[in-house]
Amino acid sequence: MRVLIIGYGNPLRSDDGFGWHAAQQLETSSHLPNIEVITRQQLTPELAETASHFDLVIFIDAARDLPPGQIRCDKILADTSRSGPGPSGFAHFLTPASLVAWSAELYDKFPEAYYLSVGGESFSEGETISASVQAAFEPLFVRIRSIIGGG
Amino acid sequence: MPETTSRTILIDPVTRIEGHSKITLHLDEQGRVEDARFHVTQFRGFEKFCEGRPFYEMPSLMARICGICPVSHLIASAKACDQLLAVRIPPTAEKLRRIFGLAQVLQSHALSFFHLSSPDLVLGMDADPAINNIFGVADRNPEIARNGIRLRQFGQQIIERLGGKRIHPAWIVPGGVSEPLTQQNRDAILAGVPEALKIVESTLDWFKSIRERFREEITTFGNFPTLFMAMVKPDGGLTFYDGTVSIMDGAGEMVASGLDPARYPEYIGEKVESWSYLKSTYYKPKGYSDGIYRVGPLARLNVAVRCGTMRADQELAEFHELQRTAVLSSFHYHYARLIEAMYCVERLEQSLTDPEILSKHVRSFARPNCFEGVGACEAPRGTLFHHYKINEKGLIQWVNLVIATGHNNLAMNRSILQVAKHFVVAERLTPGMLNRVEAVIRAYDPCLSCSTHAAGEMALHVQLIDPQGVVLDEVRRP
Repeated sequence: MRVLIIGYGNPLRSDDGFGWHAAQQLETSSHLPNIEVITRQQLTPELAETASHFDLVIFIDAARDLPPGQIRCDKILADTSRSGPGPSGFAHFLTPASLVAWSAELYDKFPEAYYLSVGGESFSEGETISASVQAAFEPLFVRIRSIIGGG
Repeated sequence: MPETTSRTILIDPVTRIEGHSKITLHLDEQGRVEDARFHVTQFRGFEKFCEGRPFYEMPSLMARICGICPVSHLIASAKACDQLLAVRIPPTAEKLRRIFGLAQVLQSHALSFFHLSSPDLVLGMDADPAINNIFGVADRNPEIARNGIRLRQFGQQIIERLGGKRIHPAWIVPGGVSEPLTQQNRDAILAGVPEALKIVESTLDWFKSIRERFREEITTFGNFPTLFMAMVKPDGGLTFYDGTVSIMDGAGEMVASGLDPARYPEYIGEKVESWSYLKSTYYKPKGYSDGIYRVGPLARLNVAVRCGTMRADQELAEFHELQRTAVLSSFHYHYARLIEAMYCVERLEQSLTDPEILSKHVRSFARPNCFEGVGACEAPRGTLFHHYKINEKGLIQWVNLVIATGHNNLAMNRSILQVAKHFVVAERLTPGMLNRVEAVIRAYDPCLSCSTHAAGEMALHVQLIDPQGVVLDEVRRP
C-alpha cells in the first residue's frame, strides 16, 4: 500500500504550521515504509494528480474550532468530497475533500483518505508550536500508525 | 443567484478571480445601465510597513505579497536591489532568473485559463452556477481539467526545483541567485518539456475551435480602443525579464517606445479613487482618464513584433491577423495567455540547453552604492514596478509598487460597463448576465492581493443602483 502524508499550513503562523511540522517529523523519524511525505502551505489543484498515485492519503492540518491539542480524525467519504469551498470560488486552494474528489473525477482514483486536524492555540506570527499543541504530536503519530496499519 | 428587491442588484462575491471586490451597476431613469464600478475592498499596505527594513530583506518580503506570482515580485524587487548595489549580476544568474520568471508565467497562466476561466469556456456563460466550476469542466471535458493541472504542475515544479519551494521561494537575491542550477534539476525540467508543449498545442487548437461560439462576448468584452503598454526587447520582441517600455494606441500605432522603466513616474500617473483601494494608473501625456491603457498578455502581444520562438511566433502571426488595428477585445486575453504559455515552454527549453546555464558563478556581492533603485519586469498580468529609496544605513525609507492589476483598473471598469450595458436587463436578471460581468474581469486575470496587497480570500459583490442611489439588486457568492 502506498501512503501519502500531506502536512499543510503556514509555518510562520505559530500553530498553523502544526501540519507542516508534524509531516516533517514523520519524514525524518517515522521509518514507515512506502510512505511519501510532503509539506505545503495550502492544498493546490495539482496535488489531485499526486494523490491519484496513492492508496491512502492522510492530511494533517491545524484547526481553530478545536481546543488546543485536541485531535479530530475525519474519514473523507466519496459522497461528501465535493462539498466545501474550493473549486467554484477560489481555485488555487482546495479542501482535503475537494482535492480527493478531483483525484476521483479526473484520474478515476479515490484513495482512502483521512483528514487529521489538531486544535491550535496561537495563530499569530511565530515559528514555534504552543506547548499545549506540541503535546499532540505523539498521539497524532500513534493515530497515523494505526490508520496505516489498518486500525 | 441574484435577488431582485424593489430597485437594486448586488453580486457578491465575484468568483474565480484572485482577491476581494465588488461591482456596482448604476442605472439611469429608464432602468438602463449607465455606469459601472469595480471596487476593490481590501488593503494590506506593504508599501508602508516595509519602511525601516534593511533593503536586502525586500525580495523576501515582497514575495509575500502574492501566493500566485511571488516570483514576479522577487524579480522586480531583486532588480531594484541590484540598482541599490549598483552591480551587474553574473550572466548565468540573469538567465536563471529568466527561467524562474518563465515558469512563474506558465503556472499562473495555467491557473487563470484552466482553473478560473475554463468553466465559462467549456460550459458556456449561461451554465447553471451550481455546475459552473472545475467539477463541471471535469464532467464535460476531463482532458481540459487534467491538462490544467499538469501544466501548472510543470511550472510549479520548476519553481520548486530552482527555488526550493513552490510558494514564496527566496532563491532570487540582490546580486543574482543564491544557488546554481544542478544538472539533475536541469535534466528533470527538460524531461517535462515535450508533455507541456503538447498540452499547450492541444489547448490552443481546442480554444480556436470553440472561440467562435463567443462571438457576442468577443464584441462586447472590453472591445474598445485603449493604449497598450508592455516591456519589449531591443528588437521589439516579447520579454518578461527586462527591456524598454513601449506604448501602442488602439489603431496599432506606436505612441512611445524605448522608455526607461526606471523613469516610469515621468509617463505613468497614479490616481486614487474614493471607492476602491486599487489605484488607477494612466499614461500621463494623455491625462486621467484618457490615458487609459491595458497591460498583460493582450498588451504584450499587441506591442511585440515577435516572440522569438518558432511555434509562438506562428501563433503570434495568427493573433495579429485578428484585427488590422491592435487586437482590442479583452476576450482575447485568453488567446494571448495561451500563446505566451507556448512561448514560455519553448523558451524554457532553449534556456536550459544553454551551455552556461550550469555555471556556479551566480551572485555578485556589494554594499549599497545608490540611494534609489527601480526594478521592473513583466509579471503574468502585466508590467510590474518596484521602486525603493534607502538611507546611508541601507534601511528602506520609501517604497512604491505599481502592479499590473492597477494598470488595468480603468480598462476593467470600462469593460464592466460595456458588458453590463449589453447584457444586463434590470427587469429580468439571470445568472448568465451576471456571470458575464464577472467573466470580463476574469479575462484580465486580476490579482487583487498583489495590487492592493490585500489580505484574505477573493470575493466579488455586484450591485445595481438606481439614479437616486437606491440599491436595486445585488448578488453575493460565498
